[in-house]
Amino acid sequence: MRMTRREYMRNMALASASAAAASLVPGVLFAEEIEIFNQASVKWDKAPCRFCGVGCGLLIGVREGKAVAVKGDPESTVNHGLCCVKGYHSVMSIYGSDRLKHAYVRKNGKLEQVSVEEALDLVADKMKQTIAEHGKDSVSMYGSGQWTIPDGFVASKFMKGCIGTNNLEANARLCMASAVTGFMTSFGLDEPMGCYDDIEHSNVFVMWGNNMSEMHPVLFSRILNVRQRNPQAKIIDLSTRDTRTSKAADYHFLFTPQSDLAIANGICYEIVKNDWVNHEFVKKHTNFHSGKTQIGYGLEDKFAFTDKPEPMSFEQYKAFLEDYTPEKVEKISGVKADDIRFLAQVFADPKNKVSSFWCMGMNQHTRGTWINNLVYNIHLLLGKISTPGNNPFSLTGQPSACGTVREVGTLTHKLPHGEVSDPKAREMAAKIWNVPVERIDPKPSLHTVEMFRALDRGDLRFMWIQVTNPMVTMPKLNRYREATLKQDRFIVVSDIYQTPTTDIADVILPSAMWIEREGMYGNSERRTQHFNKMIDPPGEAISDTWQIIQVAKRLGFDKEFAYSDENHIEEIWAEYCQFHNSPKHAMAPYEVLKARPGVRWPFWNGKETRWRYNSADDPAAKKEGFDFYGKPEGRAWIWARPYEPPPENPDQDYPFWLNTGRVIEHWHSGSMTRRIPVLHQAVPEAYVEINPIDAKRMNIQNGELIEVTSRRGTIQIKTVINGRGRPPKGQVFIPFFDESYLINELTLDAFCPISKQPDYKKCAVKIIKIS
Amino acid sequence: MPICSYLVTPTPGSMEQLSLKFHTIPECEVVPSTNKNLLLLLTETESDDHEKELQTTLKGIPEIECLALSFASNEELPK
Ligand code: SF4
Repeated sequence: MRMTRREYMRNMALASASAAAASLVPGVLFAEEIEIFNQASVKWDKAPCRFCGVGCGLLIGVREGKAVAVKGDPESTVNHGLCCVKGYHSVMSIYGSDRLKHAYVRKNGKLEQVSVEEALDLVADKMKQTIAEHGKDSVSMYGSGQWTIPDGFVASKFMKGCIGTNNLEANARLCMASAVTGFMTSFGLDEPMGCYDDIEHSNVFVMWGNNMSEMHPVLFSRILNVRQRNPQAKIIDLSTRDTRTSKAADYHFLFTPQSDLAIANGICYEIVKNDWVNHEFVKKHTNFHSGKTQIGYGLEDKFAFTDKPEPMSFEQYKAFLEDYTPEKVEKISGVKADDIRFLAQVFADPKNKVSSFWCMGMNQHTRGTWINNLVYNIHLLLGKISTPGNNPFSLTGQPSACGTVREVGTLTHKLPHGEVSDPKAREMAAKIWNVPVERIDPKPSLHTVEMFRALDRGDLRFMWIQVTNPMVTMPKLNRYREATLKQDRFIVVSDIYQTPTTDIADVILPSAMWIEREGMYGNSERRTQHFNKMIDPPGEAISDTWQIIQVAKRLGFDKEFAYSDENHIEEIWAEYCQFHNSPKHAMAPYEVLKARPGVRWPFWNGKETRWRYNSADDPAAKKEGFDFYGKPEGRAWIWARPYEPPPENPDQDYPFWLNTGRVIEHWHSGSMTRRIPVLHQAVPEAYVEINPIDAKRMNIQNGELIEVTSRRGTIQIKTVINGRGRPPKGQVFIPFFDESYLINELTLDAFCPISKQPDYKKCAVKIIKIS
Repeated sequence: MPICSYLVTPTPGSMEQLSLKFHTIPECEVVPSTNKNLLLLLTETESDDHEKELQTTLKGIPEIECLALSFASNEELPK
């Protein structure tokens, strides 16, 4: 007998309580077996979690073709069987009652259901027609860090190798680009040197603007475990707002938005002044550079910037740091001079093993590349890097921001190996893809913000959006929504639910989600995780990979996309692995990925790598001790990067900072988690956090509707005073998961000139009491 | 049609008594732990009013030390 929706809900309710009990009371046993976990008819298979970049290993229980239960995979060293509330309820996001099962095409302004074949024909025809009328650079594709690795790979091959345009971007530009440029400028290669194993080796955890307890909860629970076992272990929270992480921290320092640049330099000043520098390490493994200053904010269309690194001496670097004495830093940041001295001492103490963690706070920053560089400086000056327990660690937000966007390279300037501007990288891609090398354009084209600006200007006419919801997540949203609605713009959206982005689509393609198809994700610690197809997608939904292949074939690229229906993921993986066939980045073979709950690259001679650049662990590191082989002479770069203010500060007219972000219950724009009853009911709508002193001064009550306005837009939203987070005086915080409150109509599209990643963490607003 | 699940901590020494009490409430299904002072409770009601009545009943049970909601669904979703 087939399970009814009500039976399914009952099972999920019991499974949810049982999973919660297991995580709260380890070792708990129940008199009756929880039916769903023990039925012989339930088949279990491994998959990485669908949601965040932590990449927890899950076991998914499938019965009668339906995913009916989730438990943490005890074999996964990411989470050792634990999950957060999103992970435990993840399979419910598959079964929202309004899943997109069919394709739709806009006819006379109205979306009408058509067959998927007809919709794919139209997408291909429209692409062909647009290219014929406006050239190859008038079409674009915009994907996501939730793309599987095969999705991103075929997208890159299609756009760069076949169409011959670099108009390929992904939403990871909005969350991870500064991490990439930070790594590239400091080390010459992307992605962390350390891994999650560092947590159990560290005794000091410094959170740089990272509310880890909500955003990376399973990793945070690992840190709390360490502290429970080791009373000497300390958590230090540096943030612009009081969060759950601040409450759990041993030390919490609130700083003025953007002033993390000054704080990091202040710590380096103290390290140098007190001669705590690890001179041997610095001499052997680093050198010093400065770059351009006063570099702008990218607010104008077609903004361009190229940095100019200049070598400098240690003495010159020391002179640069004179601007960052603790007293000067206190003036900029609001963090007391003694606290800056304390932070430097904690970092430098030889007894301490220090892990720095960050995510959006440092990356969504108009000087995002710089602040990444500056945190690396601290670790490099002390030689506390690339060793167990001593590492700077840039966390990711999405399940495959690393695996797909950064490793496959679904950004305008990238190829699966190297950059489009590098002739050798183009030759390699052309050979593996079997396309003429001249077809790969050597010039990067449009980064994400500029892509939407180009759509507005009319330089772009066609955009295919997959697995992302830019009509909720683009900054300065009003401009870019209007751009998509202009005459002669054609927008294709592949998704699993209706969203504000499908609302502006000319064609909607129904996508197979996560375990409804086979795929791989790559998490924050260089771990590639394979998952099988476990259930059938609903209706006519097909995977994003297969959608791209089908359109490519319709455009005449049969030869390039001659993958088989049954084995195309395995075939794509084998092709992709050819790009990384060296000890620096070798990927695990397909069979190994299938057998294990993830493998960290480089995977060389049957062994995964935990600490890159450390000659004891990294097969590519050849020098004694450490080898930062991404840079000439194997030396990492220490950068002199100054503090520069943000483009928009609170003033008389707009006296508050606006900060935006997430809550633990909801994933990104909420299109999946708001369809999971328990998560939706936990946080049913967005709200504005306001400091109690500001609220009292303005006579605003908890739960009252107020108006929040920036120079770009306005929303009305209910207040929360003393909720889970508390902004300091003069700041408000609004989460972005709720499409009913489009907070990005207020945010500014300023970006880091090097990474082109927008800053969602600071702009100026005013608030008005309505009644 | 609300469906909820809870983790229930009984007051010390009342585990068995509480289990028996839940068995007498038709909307409740209970799974006791064999090694910890903890029960899983699953409730199913027909309507919001019915759910409110059950909540009142649960609140009146003196053997419950702590009732922590784990899951709730009445199929009222944003879309
Ligand atoms: S921490 Fe992230 S990856 Fe792990 S279960 Fe939660 S959402 Fe999923």
